[in-house]
Amino acid sequence: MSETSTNPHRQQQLYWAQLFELKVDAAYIRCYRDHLGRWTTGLGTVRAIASSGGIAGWAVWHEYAFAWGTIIAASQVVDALKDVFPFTKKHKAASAHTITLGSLFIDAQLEWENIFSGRYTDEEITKRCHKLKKLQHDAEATSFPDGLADRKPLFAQAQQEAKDYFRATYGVE
Amino acid sequence: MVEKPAGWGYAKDSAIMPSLTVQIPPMPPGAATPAQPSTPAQAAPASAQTALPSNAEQR
Repeated sequence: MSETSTNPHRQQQLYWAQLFELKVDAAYIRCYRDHLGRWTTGLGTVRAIASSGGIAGWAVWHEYAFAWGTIIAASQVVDALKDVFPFTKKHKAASAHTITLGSLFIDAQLEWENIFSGRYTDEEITKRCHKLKKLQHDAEATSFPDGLADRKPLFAQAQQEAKDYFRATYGVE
Repeated sequence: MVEKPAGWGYAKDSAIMPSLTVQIPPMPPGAATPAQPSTPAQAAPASAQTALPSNAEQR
Protein backbone atom coordinates (compact mmCIF):
# COMPACT_ATOMS: atom_id res chain seq x y z
CA MET A 1 0.00 0.00 0.00
CA SER A 2 1.21 3.48 -0.73
CA GLU A 3 1.74 6.10 1.90
CA THR A 4 -1.16 8.04 0.42
CA SER A 5 -3.67 5.35 1.26
CA THR A 6 -2.21 4.47 4.66
CA ASN A 7 -1.60 7.95 6.05
CA PRO A 8 -4.82 9.11 7.72
CA HIS A 9 -3.47 12.65 8.08
CA ARG A 10 -2.51 13.21 4.46
CA GLN A 11 -5.21 15.77 3.69
CA GLN A 12 -4.47 17.59 6.94
CA GLN A 13 -0.79 17.72 5.99
CA LEU A 14 -1.64 19.13 2.58
CA TYR A 15 -3.77 21.83 4.16
CA TRP A 16 -1.00 22.53 6.66
CA ALA A 17 1.48 22.98 3.80
CA GLN A 18 -0.91 25.35 2.09
CA LEU A 19 -1.39 27.30 5.29
CA PHE A 20 2.36 27.73 5.67
CA GLU A 21 2.79 28.78 2.07
CA LEU A 22 0.03 31.31 2.48
CA LYS A 23 1.88 32.76 5.44
CA VAL A 24 5.09 32.94 3.40
CA ASP A 25 3.22 34.62 0.56
CA ALA A 26 1.59 37.09 2.93
CA ALA A 27 4.97 37.93 4.48
CA TYR A 28 6.59 38.17 1.05
CA ILE A 29 4.06 40.58 -0.35
CA ARG A 30 4.36 42.73 2.76
CA CYS A 31 8.16 42.84 2.36
CA TYR A 32 7.71 43.60 -1.33
CA ARG A 33 5.24 46.37 -0.52
CA ASP A 34 7.73 47.94 1.90
CA HIS A 35 10.50 47.59 -0.67
CA LEU A 36 8.41 49.35 -3.30
CA GLY A 37 7.33 51.93 -0.74
CA ARG A 38 10.92 53.01 -0.20
CA TRP A 39 11.41 53.43 -3.94
CA THR A 40 8.14 55.29 -4.31
CA THR A 41 9.04 57.67 -1.51
CA GLY A 42 12.55 58.26 -2.84
CA LEU A 43 11.49 58.89 -6.40
CA GLY A 44 8.59 61.05 -5.28
CA THR A 45 11.00 63.13 -3.22
CA VAL A 46 13.29 63.68 -6.21
CA ARG A 47 10.38 64.74 -8.36
CA ALA A 48 8.98 67.02 -5.69
CA ILE A 49 12.30 68.75 -5.14
CA ALA A 50 12.87 69.16 -8.85
CA SER A 51 9.41 70.44 -9.61
CA SER A 52 9.02 72.85 -6.71
CA GLY A 53 12.48 74.10 -5.93
CA GLY A 54 14.76 73.06 -8.74
CA ILE A 55 14.41 76.03 -10.99
CA ALA A 56 14.27 78.53 -8.12
CA GLY A 57 17.28 76.96 -6.42
CA TRP A 58 19.23 77.03 -9.59
CA ALA A 59 18.44 80.71 -10.04
CA VAL A 60 19.37 81.65 -6.46
CA TRP A 61 22.40 79.45 -5.77
CA HIS A 62 24.39 79.59 -8.95
CA GLU A 63 27.35 77.88 -7.34
CA TYR A 64 25.26 74.72 -6.98
CA ALA A 65 24.01 74.82 -10.54
CA PHE A 66 25.46 71.38 -11.27
CA ALA A 67 23.64 69.84 -8.29
CA TRP A 68 20.33 71.40 -9.23
CA GLY A 69 20.80 70.44 -12.84
CA THR A 70 21.43 66.87 -11.77
CA ILE A 71 18.25 66.82 -9.68
CA ILE A 72 16.18 68.17 -12.54
CA ALA A 73 17.71 65.71 -14.98
CA ALA A 74 17.07 62.84 -12.54
CA SER A 75 13.48 63.97 -12.22
CA GLN A 76 13.04 63.91 -15.97
CA VAL A 77 14.52 60.42 -16.11
CA VAL A 78 12.09 59.31 -13.39
CA ASP A 79 9.20 60.76 -15.35
CA ALA A 80 10.37 59.07 -18.51
CA LEU A 81 10.68 55.69 -16.81
CA LYS A 82 7.49 55.76 -14.79
CA ASP A 83 5.69 53.68 -17.39
CA VAL A 84 8.56 51.22 -17.61
CA PHE A 85 8.96 50.86 -13.84
CA PRO A 86 5.54 51.66 -12.41
CA PHE A 87 6.61 51.68 -8.78
CA THR A 88 3.59 53.60 -7.60
CA LYS A 89 1.14 51.33 -9.38
CA LYS A 90 2.85 48.20 -8.11
CA HIS A 91 3.07 49.65 -4.62
CA LYS A 92 -0.69 50.19 -4.57
CA ALA A 93 -1.28 46.68 -5.87
CA ALA A 94 1.08 45.22 -3.28
CA SER A 95 -0.66 47.17 -0.51
CA ALA A 96 -4.06 45.82 -1.52
CA HIS A 97 -2.69 42.31 -1.90
CA THR A 98 -1.08 42.46 1.54
CA ILE A 99 -4.45 43.18 3.12
CA THR A 100 -6.15 40.43 1.11
CA LEU A 101 -3.62 37.76 2.04
CA GLY A 102 -3.55 38.84 5.67
CA SER A 103 -7.30 38.48 5.90
CA LEU A 104 -7.22 35.17 4.05
CA PHE A 105 -4.61 33.82 6.44
CA ILE A 106 -6.74 34.71 9.45
CA ASP A 107 -9.66 32.79 7.97
CA ALA A 108 -7.41 29.86 7.05
CA GLN A 109 -6.08 29.69 10.59
CA LEU A 110 -9.62 29.35 11.90
CA GLU A 111 -10.30 26.63 9.37
CA TRP A 112 -7.07 24.87 10.32
CA GLU A 113 -8.19 24.58 13.94
CA ASN A 114 -11.30 22.71 12.80
CA ILE A 115 -9.20 20.51 10.53
CA PHE A 116 -6.67 19.80 13.26
CA SER A 117 -9.40 18.80 15.70
CA GLY A 118 -10.83 16.29 13.22
CA ARG A 119 -14.15 18.00 12.61
CA TYR A 120 -13.92 17.67 8.85
CA THR A 121 -13.75 14.62 6.66
CA ASP A 122 -10.94 14.12 4.17
CA GLU A 123 -13.22 15.17 1.37
CA GLU A 124 -14.16 18.39 3.14
CA ILE A 125 -10.51 19.15 3.84
CA THR A 126 -9.69 18.60 0.16
CA LYS A 127 -12.42 21.00 -0.88
CA ARG A 128 -11.34 23.63 1.63
CA CYS A 129 -7.70 23.31 0.59
CA HIS A 130 -8.74 23.73 -3.02
CA LYS A 131 -10.81 26.78 -2.18
CA LEU A 132 -7.90 28.30 -0.26
CA LYS A 133 -5.56 27.82 -3.21
CA LYS A 134 -8.13 29.26 -5.57
CA LEU A 135 -8.69 32.35 -3.43
CA GLN A 136 -4.94 32.83 -3.18
CA HIS A 137 -4.48 32.49 -6.91
CA ASP A 138 -7.41 34.73 -7.81
CA ALA A 139 -6.28 37.44 -5.41
CA GLU A 140 -2.84 37.44 -6.96
CA ALA A 141 -4.22 37.42 -10.48
CA THR A 142 -6.36 40.43 -9.62
CA SER A 143 -3.58 42.43 -7.99
CA PHE A 144 -0.76 41.38 -10.32
CA PRO A 145 -2.19 40.29 -13.67
CA ASP A 146 1.25 40.64 -15.25
CA GLY A 147 2.93 38.50 -12.61
CA LEU A 148 4.79 39.24 -9.45
CA ALA A 149 8.57 39.52 -9.27
CA ASP A 150 10.40 36.94 -7.18
CA ARG A 151 13.14 38.58 -5.21
CA LYS A 152 15.21 36.04 -3.37
CA PRO A 153 16.32 38.25 -0.45
CA LEU A 154 12.70 39.23 0.23
CA PHE A 155 11.61 35.62 -0.13
CA ALA A 156 14.25 34.48 2.36
CA GLN A 157 13.10 37.15 4.79
CA ALA A 158 9.45 36.16 4.30
CA GLN A 159 10.19 32.49 4.86
CA GLN A 160 12.08 33.26 8.05
CA GLU A 161 9.20 35.39 9.31
CA ALA A 162 6.75 32.58 8.57
CA LYS A 163 8.96 30.06 10.39
CA ASP A 164 9.20 32.33 13.41
CA TYR A 165 5.46 32.84 13.43
CA PHE A 166 4.67 29.13 13.16
CA ARG A 167 7.22 28.29 15.82
CA ALA A 168 5.68 30.81 18.21
CA THR A 169 2.08 29.93 17.36
CA TYR A 170 2.12 26.19 16.72
CA GLY A 171 5.40 25.14 18.32
CA VAL A 172 6.87 23.61 15.18
CA GLU A 173 10.41 23.91 13.89
CA MET B 1 12.11 20.63 8.17
CA VAL B 2 10.20 18.78 5.53
CA GLU B 3 10.78 19.87 1.98
CA LYS B 4 7.69 19.85 -0.14
CA PRO B 5 7.67 17.05 -2.70
CA ALA B 6 8.60 18.13 -6.19
CA GLY B 7 5.71 18.48 -8.55
CA TRP B 8 3.17 19.36 -5.91
CA GLY B 9 2.37 22.61 -4.29
CA TYR B 10 1.49 26.17 -4.72
CA ALA B 11 4.85 27.85 -5.00
CA LYS B 12 6.01 25.83 -7.96
CA ASP B 13 2.90 26.66 -9.95
CA SER B 14 2.36 30.12 -8.61
CA ALA B 15 3.07 33.33 -10.39
CA ILE B 16 4.44 34.61 -7.11
CA MET B 17 7.51 32.48 -6.71
CA PRO B 18 7.80 30.06 -9.57
CA SER B 19 11.45 29.29 -9.00
CA LEU B 20 11.53 29.27 -5.22
CA THR B 21 10.72 26.34 -2.97
CA VAL B 22 9.05 26.75 0.38
CA GLN B 23 10.43 24.66 3.23
CA ILE B 24 7.34 23.34 4.98
CA PRO B 25 7.66 22.61 8.70
CA PRO B 26 6.11 19.36 9.92
CA MET B 27 2.51 19.43 11.06
CA PRO B 28 2.17 19.84 14.81
CA PRO B 29 1.66 16.53 16.63
CA GLY B 30 -1.66 15.57 18.13
CA ALA B 31 -3.90 16.11 15.15
CA ALA B 32 -7.15 14.20 15.43
CA THR B 33 -8.01 11.78 12.67
CA PRO B 34 -10.39 13.41 10.18
CA ALA B 35 -14.07 12.71 10.69
CA GLN B 36 -15.49 9.72 8.88
CA PRO B 37 -17.94 10.42 6.10
CA SER B 38 -21.46 9.43 6.97
CA THR B 39 -22.88 7.05 4.36
CA PRO B 40 -26.65 6.62 3.93
CA ALA B 41 -26.46 3.10 5.36
CA GLN B 42 -24.54 4.34 8.40
CA ALA B 43 -26.73 7.36 8.86
CA ALA B 44 -29.94 5.43 8.93
CA PRO B 45 -30.78 3.97 12.33
CA ALA B 46 -30.71 0.20 12.57
CA SER B 47 -34.39 0.14 13.48
CA ALA B 48 -35.28 1.89 10.24
CA GLN B 49 -33.56 -0.80 8.20
CA THR B 50 -35.33 -3.63 9.92
CA ALA B 51 -38.71 -1.88 10.01
CA LEU B 52 -39.29 -2.60 6.30
CA PRO B 53 -41.53 -4.20 5.33
CA SER B 54 -43.85 -3.49 8.19
CA ASN B 55 -45.87 -6.13 9.97
CA ALA B 56 -49.03 -4.62 8.53
CA GLU B 57 -47.83 -5.17 4.95
CA GLN B 58 -46.83 -8.75 5.68
CA ARG B 59 -50.30 -9.51 6.86
